[in-house]
Amino acid sequence: MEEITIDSKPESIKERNEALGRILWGKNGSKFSMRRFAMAAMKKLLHKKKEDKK
Amino acid sequence: MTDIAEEPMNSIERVLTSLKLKEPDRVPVWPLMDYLPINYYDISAKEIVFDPIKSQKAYEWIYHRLGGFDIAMAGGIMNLLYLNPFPDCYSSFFFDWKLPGRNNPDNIPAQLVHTSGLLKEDGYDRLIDEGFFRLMSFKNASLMDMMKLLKVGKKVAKNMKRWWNYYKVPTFSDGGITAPFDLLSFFRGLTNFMKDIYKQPEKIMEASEFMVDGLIAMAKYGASITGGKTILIGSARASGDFISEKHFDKLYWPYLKKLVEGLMKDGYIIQLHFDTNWTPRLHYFLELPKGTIYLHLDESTDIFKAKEVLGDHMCIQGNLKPALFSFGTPHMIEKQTKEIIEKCAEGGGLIVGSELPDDAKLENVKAMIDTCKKHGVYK
Repeated sequence: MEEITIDSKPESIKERNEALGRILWGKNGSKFSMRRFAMAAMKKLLHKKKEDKK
Repeated sequence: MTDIAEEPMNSIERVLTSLKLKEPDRVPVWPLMDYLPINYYDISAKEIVFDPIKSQKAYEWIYHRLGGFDIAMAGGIMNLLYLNPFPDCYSSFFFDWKLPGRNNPDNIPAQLVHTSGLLKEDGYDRLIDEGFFRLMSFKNASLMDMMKLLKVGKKVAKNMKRWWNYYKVPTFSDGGITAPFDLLSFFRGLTNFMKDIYKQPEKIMEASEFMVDGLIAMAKYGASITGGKTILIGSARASGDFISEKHFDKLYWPYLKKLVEGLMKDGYIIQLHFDTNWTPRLHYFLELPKGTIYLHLDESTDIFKAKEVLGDHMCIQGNLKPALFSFGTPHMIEKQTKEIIEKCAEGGGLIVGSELPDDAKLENVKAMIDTCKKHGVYK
C-alpha cells in the first residue's frame, strides 16, 4: 500500500501571530500573543464595568 | 458492549485511502455525533461540553456499543468550540449561545439565539481598520474561560491522541473556522447581509479579503492547541438555497478558494462541512487542489450528482437524512446506505455518514455502520 502521510508542515508562528493580530485588532493591529489578548480583554471588561456603573 | 472486529485496514488507513481517491478495504463510515451520548450513557449535555474526561469516556462507550466506526469525536472538543475567543459563529464571546449548565439547563444542548446587527451597515471599513476584537463581549463567556483555553486544549489533545494512537481512528474537526461570507452574515444578521449583497457588494469583498489570512491563522492556532491534523471549514449560506451563481462567483468563491489553498499548502486535512444545497455549485469544487480534502455534504445536496461531478477529484460524504435516525427503521437506513454505496463507492473517495440527531436510535446508527461493513467491501 502507498504510504500516506498526514503530518502538517512546520509553520511560521510569527506569521501566524501577525495574521491573528490583524483579524483581532485590524489591518495595523499588533502581533497576537495570548498574554496580550488576555490583557486587552481585561481592559475591555473593566471599561464595560465602569460604563455600566455610570 | 460489542467487541470491535478486526478488519484488513484500521480506520486511519481506510479514511486516508478514501481521501486519496483510492479503494480501501471497505467504505468508511462516520456517525457524526455531538450530544448523542446523553440519551444512552450516564452523562449530561453540560458534561459533554465541560468535562473532557467524562465526555471522552461516553464517546468511547458509544464506539464500542456500535461495534466501531471510522471517524470519532474527541471528548471536550465542544468546550473549545463554544468558548473559542476568536471570531467564529460558534463562539460565545461573540454570539448569544445558551450553553448547558450555564444559561441552559444541564441536559439541554447549546442553542444559539440569533442576534442581528453586531456589525452595522457602515461597519465593514471599521472591521478592516479595527478588527473583530471590539465586537467581543463577556455576556456569555468569561475572562476565566479564555484563560483556561490552553489547559482544556491539553485535555482534548490527550483524547485526540487516544483515538489516533490507541484506537487507530482519526478525529476530524481538530481546528475549525467559518467561511468569510458565512461569518460576515452572522455578524450582520442574515436579512441585513442579504441586502448588503445588493447594496454594498464591494464592502463584502474587501472584508472577505481582509479576513482570509486571519481565518487561516485561527484554524492553525486551533489545531496547534489540540495537536490535531484536521481542519473543518463550515459553510451553509452561499449555496444554491441562498444566493445566485453570479453572487457566489464574485462574493464567495475566491475567498473560500484562498482559504482552502492556504491551509492545504501547510499539509492539513481539510473537511469542507457544507450544509444546504450545493448541487448547482459542485463544478466549482473542481478548482480546488486534489489531495487531503473531503466534502461533507448534508442530505440537501444530491450525492449522486456530487459523485458524477467530483468523483475523480475529491472525497465526498453524502449524508443520510438525519431525521431517519430518529424516526426511521434499521431497514430504511440499510436500504439508503446500500443505494449510496452502490452508486458512489466505485473507485474510492466515499465516506458514508450522517450528522446524527441527539435522539437518534442506536439500532438505526448501527444499521448504517453494519451495512457499510457488510455491503461496502471493495473487491
